Amino acid sequence: MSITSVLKQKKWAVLPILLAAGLLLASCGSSSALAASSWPGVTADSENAYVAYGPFVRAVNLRTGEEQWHFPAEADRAISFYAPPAIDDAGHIIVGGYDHKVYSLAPDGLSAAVVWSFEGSQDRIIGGPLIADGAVYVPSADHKLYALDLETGDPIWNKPFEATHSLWSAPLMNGQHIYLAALDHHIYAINPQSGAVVWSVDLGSAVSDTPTLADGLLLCGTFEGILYALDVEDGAIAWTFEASDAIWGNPATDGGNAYFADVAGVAYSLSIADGSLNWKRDLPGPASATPAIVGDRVFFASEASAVSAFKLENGDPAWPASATLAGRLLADPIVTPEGLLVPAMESECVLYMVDPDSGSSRCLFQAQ
Amino acid sequence: MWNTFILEPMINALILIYQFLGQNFGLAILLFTALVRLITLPLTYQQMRSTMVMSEIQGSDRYKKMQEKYKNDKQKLSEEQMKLFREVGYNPFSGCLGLIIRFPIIIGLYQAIIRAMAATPAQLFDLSKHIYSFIPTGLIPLNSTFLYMNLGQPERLTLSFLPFSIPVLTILVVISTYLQTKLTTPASPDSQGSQMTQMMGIYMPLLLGYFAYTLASGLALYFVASNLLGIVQGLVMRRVRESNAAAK
Repeated sequence: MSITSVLKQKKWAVLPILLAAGLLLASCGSSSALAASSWPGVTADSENAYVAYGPFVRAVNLRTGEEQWHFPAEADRAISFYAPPAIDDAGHIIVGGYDHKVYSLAPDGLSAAVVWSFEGSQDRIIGGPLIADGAVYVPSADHKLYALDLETGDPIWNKPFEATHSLWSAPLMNGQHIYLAALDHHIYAINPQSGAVVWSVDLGSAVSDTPTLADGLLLCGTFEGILYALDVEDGAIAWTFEASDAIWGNPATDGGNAYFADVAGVAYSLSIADGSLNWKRDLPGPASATPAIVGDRVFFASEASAVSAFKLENGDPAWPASATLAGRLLADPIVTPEGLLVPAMESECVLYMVDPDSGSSRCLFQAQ
Repeated sequence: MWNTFILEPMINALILIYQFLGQNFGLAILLFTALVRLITLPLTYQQMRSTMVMSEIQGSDRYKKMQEKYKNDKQKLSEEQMKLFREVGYNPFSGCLGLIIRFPIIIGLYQAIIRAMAATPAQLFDLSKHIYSFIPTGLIPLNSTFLYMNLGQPERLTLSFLPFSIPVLTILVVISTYLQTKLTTPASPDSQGSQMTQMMGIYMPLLLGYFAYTLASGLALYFVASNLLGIVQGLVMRRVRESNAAAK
């Protein structure tokens, strides 16, 4: 090949190189690194799981795995959902979207009708809403907590509560106060009528999950890897426990003990009374989910596609081996009448049903 | 391998710069881009110099005569061209080496910025696994507010007296990409090369403009910073070469 042709081709070679570079940048951009995606947000009642994952919110029958309805009727590139939907016994279904909107849905055939929508948020709704006392409390990545009328979607506070960083977790209510974890390192206790801050405490690093309420204490894990027990009345620190890595999912509690795991993949059991360690066990991979408790067993999902079961009392394995599913198990497993519902990310099967007794599993729902 | 030697050092360096600059992620992106540009300057210089020298050769009378004289003898033409290159000390592949080395650095820089922005729980969870132990955990997640922008979201400027919002960064990306392509790509004497330059001048601004419009504004900020630094580099190099040529 002559130098002339090489030189001429070299010029034209710029075009495919340009296109390749564009595709490479685009593919980097559309990967999990940049595309606004996350793990499934799942809630369940006695009959259905409500799954917010990608372009749709779906209701899936827990027994058959059949999709009951999905919203919106047609996928829209501008709309996606990852926040766990909020449901109540009266049939309200509230979902927040990455399109910054909050929707109240009513099932309507194979889809759902919008009863009302709220468009006041300036950023994504990442944390699940909370329904309580005729109101719905919606945390937003725009740093604000919005209190809306459950029936109309109208704001009920003069102005929303505002933290100094994003709110990624569902609020918690104990009948008196709303408790809210923020990425600005704070736990806030908020008056549910006015939105005024009752107390706040700085924990030194971000708290990404909803605090756990147990025995008059709020249990909150931080990115620094410290589990704090705070007095619900004034936020005073009752005790702390240092884990080996960042704590993402907050504890499950039962019988005076708390159970949680960290990003290093270590599971812990602590006494709620004083934070002393009962036992700790290694998991197959990093964990971000709050564990689930069924009977005398606690179940941990980990990123390494595994669900591990331990006896509450002593941490002995409850199954011969961890249940191996597929995908990244970063969302909280949920206890349902049909078994342990385990959401999976980056897997063809979005929902697994795991038998808590044997560890056997089946794919309950596969998104089309 | 990629994560250990390229991505993680860049992510952690970016976070340290963020800490050093008072936890301002916008400024951190600007400074980080400038530092990486500075570190890769010798490679960039070699690549741009190669492009300019080639352009000068192609514009020379000797080269044009050679093209005409041996247009029916590709073998001879090739030999004569190689002879000319040797005489002027030009290696046709010297520019490629710089590009090959720079390319992973550019991709690493791009990935470091988008990963550090971590705008969703899964992204933040993934980021947490790339952070060195000596980085204070209190820094994570990064504060993505810069001026009026949320760097994790596409940028739009909303003005109260306008019924629509303006994608300022997108406009800046398109303009700066166009200028960079225009100012740093030497005019090619042959029609094919000239056509190619024109195509790049159109496609690159549109491609990067689309990214800037649809993706996180932190990325658009990086495009603008990188383009502006590229323009300055290109202009300085062109000026130096012109003054060197005038001195001869």
